[in-house]
Amino acid sequence: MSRARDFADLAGSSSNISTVAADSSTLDQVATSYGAGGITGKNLIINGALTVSQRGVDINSLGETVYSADRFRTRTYGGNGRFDYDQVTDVVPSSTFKYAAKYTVSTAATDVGSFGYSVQQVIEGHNIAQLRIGRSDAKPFTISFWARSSVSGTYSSGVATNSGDISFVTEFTLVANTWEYISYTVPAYTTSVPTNLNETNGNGLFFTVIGLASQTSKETSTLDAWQSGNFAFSSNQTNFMSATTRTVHITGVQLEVGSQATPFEHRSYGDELARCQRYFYKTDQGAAGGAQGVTSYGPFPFPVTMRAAPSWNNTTGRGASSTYTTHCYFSYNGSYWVLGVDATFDAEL
Amino acid sequence: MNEMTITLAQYVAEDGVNQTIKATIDGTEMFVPLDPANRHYTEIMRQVEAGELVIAEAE
Repeated sequence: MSRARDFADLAGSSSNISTVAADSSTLDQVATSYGAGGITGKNLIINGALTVSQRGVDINSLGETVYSADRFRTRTYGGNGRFDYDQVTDVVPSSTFKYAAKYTVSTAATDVGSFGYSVQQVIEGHNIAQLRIGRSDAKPFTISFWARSSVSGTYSSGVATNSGDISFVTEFTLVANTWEYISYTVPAYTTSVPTNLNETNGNGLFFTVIGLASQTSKETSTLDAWQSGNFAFSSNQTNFMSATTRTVHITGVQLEVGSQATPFEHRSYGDELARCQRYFYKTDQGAAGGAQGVTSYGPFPFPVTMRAAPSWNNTTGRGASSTYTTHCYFSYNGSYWVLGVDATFDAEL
Repeated sequence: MNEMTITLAQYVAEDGVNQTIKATIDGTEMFVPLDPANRHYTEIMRQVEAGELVIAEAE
């Protein structure tokens, strides 16, 4: 599909195209800017360039649904394999990308087949509503990313809606220690609205960036098509998890409306950090007050509205009170108090 | 299969009203709001309903 059509999708209507084009002199200029990633907002993936890593840049022994780089989590589905995560700068696909996420097998899995392994991002329901999944005006969308593995073979990627009502799986080949640019288009799904589809602040779309070992119950030979059921792995999936020290790198992860992969949308660090902070916020500069021996309350505002009321922990003080999407209260209640805050707030999916 | 390993769950109350659950989740002490949209709260309640976890009353 043409860039003009992609732009039309982005602009929302043909009348908007002429308006924007007039502002930018010519449609060609606008299209060129779009092609170069100059128009923001097309990428539904948050932290696709792996620039934000609030939890740390070196995290060990990741298991089931444990977050590493912001918004990215590992899946083990209860299996015994584990990963180490590093945010790296020395192995990237091009100078366009400063960072990549490196996942190393730290504990080899002995239960592949019973349990699957992958790297995943869950997209919030609000952000996928525009895809119109299940309606007559549903949109196709295109996924692209860079991947590199120390093990040659066939790998999986795909998406599933909330509760795994429907899913889409594709496969691709990697050559050992070679970056590959992966892109595929997920066709519009117009059959019916999935029963548990979430288009608010819940699990909108489970996006398996890369499958690393298959779980039989989530394995399919039906590729490149939507199907009922919760599938995540191709039946040709390589068992990457069978030995330690194996590595896989990813970066430049993008999901955009339309049938054509366009250049990666680079966002400012501040923009990306704010998007991440809707799901996870870490501070070592907080200052919620409290006094031991009296009842006191210290409201602590969050930098952005969080997806849900967050769980939190802090390492330098003690406290417990109500948390909301916009702020929390620390209070002394006879058991807990806080003077300083070195805290994390977790509203991840 | 549990998504998270949760131990030592206990309600924390203010003025006699439960406000949060203090729990150790995957080795980290967390304070979890009573919000069904919160993934930790969802998992705590799933484990409670499955009979795998008991939340102690507030002190």
